[in-house]
Amino acid sequence: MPKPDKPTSKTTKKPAAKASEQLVSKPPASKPAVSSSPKPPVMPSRVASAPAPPSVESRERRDRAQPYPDRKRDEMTMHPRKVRYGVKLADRSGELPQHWATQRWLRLLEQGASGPVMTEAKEYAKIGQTRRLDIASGVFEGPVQGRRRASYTTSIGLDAFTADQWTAVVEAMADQSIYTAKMLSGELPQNVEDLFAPFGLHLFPTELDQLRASCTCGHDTPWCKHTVCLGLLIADQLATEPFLIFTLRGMPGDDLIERLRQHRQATSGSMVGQAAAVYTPHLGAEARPLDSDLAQFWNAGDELDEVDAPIAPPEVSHPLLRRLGPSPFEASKFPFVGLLATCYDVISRAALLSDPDAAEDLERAEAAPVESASRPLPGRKSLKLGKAKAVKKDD
Amino acid sequence: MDAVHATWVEGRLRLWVESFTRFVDDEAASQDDEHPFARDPASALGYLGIELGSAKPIEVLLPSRDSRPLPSPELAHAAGRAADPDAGNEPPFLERYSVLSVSPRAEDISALLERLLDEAEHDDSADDHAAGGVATAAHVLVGSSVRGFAVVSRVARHLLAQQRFVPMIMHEPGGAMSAGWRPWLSDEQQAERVLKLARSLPASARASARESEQDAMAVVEAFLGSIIDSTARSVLRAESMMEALEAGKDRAGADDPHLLWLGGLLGEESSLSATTMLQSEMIKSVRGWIGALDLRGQTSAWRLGVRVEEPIDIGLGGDADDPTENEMNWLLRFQLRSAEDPKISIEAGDLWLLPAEGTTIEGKRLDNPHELLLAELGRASRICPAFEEALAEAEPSMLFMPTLKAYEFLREHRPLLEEQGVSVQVPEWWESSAMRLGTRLRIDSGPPGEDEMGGTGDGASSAKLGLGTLVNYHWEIAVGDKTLSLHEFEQLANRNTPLVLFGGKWVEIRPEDVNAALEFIRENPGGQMAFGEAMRLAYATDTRKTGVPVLGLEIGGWLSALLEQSGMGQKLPDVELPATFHGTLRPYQLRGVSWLAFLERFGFGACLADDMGLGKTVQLLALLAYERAIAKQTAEHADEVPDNQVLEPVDAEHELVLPTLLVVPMSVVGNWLREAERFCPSLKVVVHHGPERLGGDALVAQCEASDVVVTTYALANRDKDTIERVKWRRIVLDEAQFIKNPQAKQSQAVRSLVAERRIALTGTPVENRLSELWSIMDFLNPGYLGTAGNFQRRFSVPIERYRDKPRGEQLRSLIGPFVLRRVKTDPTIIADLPEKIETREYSHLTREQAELYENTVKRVLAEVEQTQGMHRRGMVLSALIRLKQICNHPAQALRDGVTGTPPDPSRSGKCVRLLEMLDEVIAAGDRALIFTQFRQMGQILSVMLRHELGKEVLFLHGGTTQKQRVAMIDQFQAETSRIPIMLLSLKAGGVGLNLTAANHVFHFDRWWNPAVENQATDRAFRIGQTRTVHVHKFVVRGTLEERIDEMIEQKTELAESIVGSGERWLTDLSSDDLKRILTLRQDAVADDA
Repeated sequence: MPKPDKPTSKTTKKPAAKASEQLVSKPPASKPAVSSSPKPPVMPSRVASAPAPPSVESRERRDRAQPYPDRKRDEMTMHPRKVRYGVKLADRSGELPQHWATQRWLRLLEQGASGPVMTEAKEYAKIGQTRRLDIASGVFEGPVQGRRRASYTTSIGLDAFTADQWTAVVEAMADQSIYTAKMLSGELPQNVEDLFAPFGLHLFPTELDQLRASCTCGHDTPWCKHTVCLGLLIADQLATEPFLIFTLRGMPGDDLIERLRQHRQATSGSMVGQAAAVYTPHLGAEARPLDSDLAQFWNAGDELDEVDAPIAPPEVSHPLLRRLGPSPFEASKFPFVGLLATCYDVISRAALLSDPDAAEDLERAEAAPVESASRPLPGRKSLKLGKAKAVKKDD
Repeated sequence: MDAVHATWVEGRLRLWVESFTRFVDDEAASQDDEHPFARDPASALGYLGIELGSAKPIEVLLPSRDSRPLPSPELAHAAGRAADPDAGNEPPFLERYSVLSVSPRAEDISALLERLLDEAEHDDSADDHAAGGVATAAHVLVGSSVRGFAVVSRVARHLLAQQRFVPMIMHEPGGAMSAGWRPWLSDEQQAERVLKLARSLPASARASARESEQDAMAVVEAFLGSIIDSTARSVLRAESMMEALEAGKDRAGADDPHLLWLGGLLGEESSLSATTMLQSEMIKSVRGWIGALDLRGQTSAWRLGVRVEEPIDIGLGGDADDPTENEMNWLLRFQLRSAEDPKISIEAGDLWLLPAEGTTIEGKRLDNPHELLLAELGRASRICPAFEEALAEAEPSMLFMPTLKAYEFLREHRPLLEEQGVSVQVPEWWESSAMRLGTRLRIDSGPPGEDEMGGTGDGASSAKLGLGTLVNYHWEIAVGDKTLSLHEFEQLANRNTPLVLFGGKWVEIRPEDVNAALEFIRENPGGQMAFGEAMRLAYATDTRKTGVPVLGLEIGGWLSALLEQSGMGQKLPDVELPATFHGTLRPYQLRGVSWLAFLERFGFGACLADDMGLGKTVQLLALLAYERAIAKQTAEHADEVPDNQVLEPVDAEHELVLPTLLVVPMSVVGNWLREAERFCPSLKVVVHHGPERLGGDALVAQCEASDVVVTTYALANRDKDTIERVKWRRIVLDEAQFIKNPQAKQSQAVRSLVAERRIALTGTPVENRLSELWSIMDFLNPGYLGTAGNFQRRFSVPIERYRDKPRGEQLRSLIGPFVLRRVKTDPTIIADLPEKIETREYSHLTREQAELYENTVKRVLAEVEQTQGMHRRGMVLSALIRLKQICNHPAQALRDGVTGTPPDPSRSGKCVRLLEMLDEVIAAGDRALIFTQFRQMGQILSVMLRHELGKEVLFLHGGTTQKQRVAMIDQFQAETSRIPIMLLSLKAGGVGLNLTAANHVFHFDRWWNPAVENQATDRAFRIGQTRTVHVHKFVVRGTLEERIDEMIEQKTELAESIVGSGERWLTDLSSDDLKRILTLRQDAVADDA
């Protein structure tokens, strides 16, 4: 689940350049490997914090790369050259997330890439042959390392919306606060396309020819393994960073939020506000040094007597799991949440049984002819059942 | 009597022990940094039979003086010493000591801590000096740190039961990765609990020499974590959860992140083997995932509020066109609510009128309100998808929901939203059980006036009284306080909606309740049962037993008054006191007498548990006078019993009322006699105690010829066979807490005595001392609270140790009708009380004291015959002082105290009484001043009281420096003071001091000068005192103390000179006068031997 937008100190606010004017940028070596430049990413997200910066060497190599490399002079190898700190799929096994944005993008790629190309591209994406991924308005590109010494300059372009188009969309969006609300909490509403349709626009490309793939590898088809690899990486990142699609369409996510805010202000006729005051709950007890009151060194505070801790089942079963939602590893086929639910049940039950009083209640509840429908706790029998069920699909 | 402590050191909970013997022997450490009086805990705690592992030295920081650690208060008080004799001078400082410790396995710790607490509580009840029960030697004293960690471990089990823990992945030092179960403490309720723990955990619990382990919050979290992880793992291992992974491996592949993670969660091994890349990815993903729990709007000073408004019943009823419940719409209104002050909120409707950049509401800054509301709604819509509907509007402020959705919201989404930081206001009826479907027990006890009115209490009719009374009962289906006919109920059920409009009000009808209720009613058609059983069913039944909530008890007929008066006894008509009772009762006392009479009339045992000083004795005496007057009146007018005589005694046709057996502690026999003489001189009171007491037939005859027989707990046991032969009207236990140990012979003897009426008097807060409560209730109404073991498990442990509120409520409802407890601070009582109440506390001499006393008197009287003038005066004076010392405690007269051994209070009748009274003072949370004219006695008392009460005792005397005085007074007066007792020597503390924190003043020995005594009393009774001050003047019966006290009280001529001249006048008395005053009356001796 993505984190919501939290403006942090590293976000250097500067007047937003018109997104549609932005082109491919070459971030300095100290920047993360992936960026939706020129602005820092909308969120301090997983995408933004790839493990290490690319080496200076790789940048030089890329700079030297010829648009049409001379094959004779270039040494070919059987396997693609190893890339350190390349951009990889989030899931190490090469599975792509089930997120709807990812899947939508993936279906598009499958139109262009034949089976073998897709397989190779997936392998490239999995092992991280892409040195860097730059995302800007109307294009994403990156050097993809193949078997040759020089990596290929690979890019996929798509049409950014015009400023007028965006203005129309922003107005429509502001009328339905669900979009602002969902976006503020870091989510891309699945029905977002409904908003673009009235203007004859699609946020996500619907046909392959809406994408302009290009690669310096010299293959006949634009959909070589390098471009497909690049496409897969974008698909992968859309799951965690769905707002990238706005960037590609010429409106970085935080610009969009800013526009929504401006629109609301325009209607209420006021000025730009500041970031919400940060409330820090007093979670840390104030430090009490050992020698703060030596006369009371051995004594417990009165509040100890106020701590109540009933040994009782939860009001709603699996409260934390329900709040957590699906597991973070969307690619995995293992029914993680289901198994965790069973774990919670057996642990909770054991804790109840450890308390003679609660155990009595529990035994009575389980012996009662009426099923307590509101908060089922697995008894011994249903526990076995729970284990069998544990292999069901995650929801 | 070693003291055990618990400290978190080097990532584990360590137990260590202070040795009592090494402490009192003042042993020196063998090495510099070694704790001088610690001992090997493995041997000290070996008797527990729990695997503790071998002892290991740890480093702890302890407050010290002169390179010696101060003892814990538990240990110091056990030895009768002040925990820090130099308190008030230079503060102590922390020094590092090495102590031997044991560290049990994490999964054993909860049980071990519980065991230690059990021990401490058990010792507390068995170690009662006065109860004379089986006094098992106390094994260990339990430090507050042990209690603190026991509560933390309870919280850990609470978290486990409530499923408040999460799976985690952590970096280990060195780059490896491990998985584990961690408590989830960020939710408000848990955070509050943990903060309380962190704030109250004693410093001794976190006295590790490592600085990182001195932070209370870190210690609480680490300890919770260790229990939760180890418990979760051992449960999952026992359930073979790992097997579930095996099947998954084939499908998902061995390096599936879920499988890797679970591998570290389900088994013994917590470390994960994964490549560095995968590791950091996994940790990032997991952190992000778990982090979603924390998105609770806590980052903002404002949070989402949702108010649920129910549809108003606009239908005129039964109209076919009216919408059905399912068609009605519920309204959810949104607000933003200040996180700091939930009272401050702004409705979403108003919020859209605000400038978008923000404003200030009641002093709280609200920035970007529009965006905040939308973000909050977006967040909430993850838990409650219905909120998305509201978000389809540009400026959402409310949301309509059909009934079914509203029910789902209330039932499922509300708790989760609240945890996520959203404040949800629901209609009142939702939270209370008042408008829920349930069953109600209806009892019909029939009209009064048949068996209940006319019975004589002997034989047949008595079986129908009290809790054994058979009553007709049946179960009814009810909603709140409305009873439903089966037809009505079926109609409700057929509406097929969980929220039903019933009589214009909304009612929750859970589908499972409908079936359960029907089934329950079918299986429990009604019939007859004992009244006690009905009370238990109505008040102490769990829903899980019946399947439906039991909404309470409805009593028809004569028993209904019993419940109505529950609590304060205010609804009963006051009895009319006869002329044979000499005195006036305060209004609350009269209510007490009426209450006792009422309960007795229906055969219930009654516990009068008024605070000390409110006059329990006088209420009982009034009851005795009243019933005799009524009996006499009835006998005289046997034919014309007035109809309106509500409180008709059952012995109508008996001219003679059977005697009452009054069982009291030895120390208060004197008090009872005095009070009976004073208030009820017509009562024939007999004391059964002492070596000359009667036995066999003579005793039976004596008892039968009297109105009241006063005896002691010890003799009630010893002479039980004879006492049993007497037919008693009632048995009264005074200071009924004496039978708190049910195993003690005395308790068993008293419980086995047969009498129709039973009354218990006690001044301790019974509702807080549950072992006492059980014993007393079992005496009064046998079997009512179940067996002792059952009661312990069901009520004592949850309520006393873990503040289980619902359980406490159940218990209160159960005992409510049978316990009347008024406290001094009760506003209705305060109005009746004077500002100062003076009482004399009469006690006896022990045999040892009596012998010393008589020998001294004999010697003095012989010598005064032969001496003259100054010599005679001096001799008389020193004899007087010696006699007073003997009355105080033999150790004061003989100076035979042994260093290191606290004086034995049972050698002095006065000390025994003082301890009993202080026990009540402390139990009530009051503070007391104790004046003595002898500094030496003050010394003896300070050691004795610390040892016996386990509390700090201050002692202010002539040798106290000015600086110490100020420190002591500050300590005692402080609102948060934990020091309940201050001893003062009359000369040093009689004037000038302001000690209004105390509301009890004890004059342990007497100066015979009311002016001096009043001056001392005024230390507490002065401006700044807000409570009634109780002044207790101690008098030993039959000794010079009583004679002189009488003389002063009667304002005799002699007394005039007494008051003026201190004790000198005594030296001028003639030998005959001296003899009269000094000679010991035989009834002064307490002799249970």
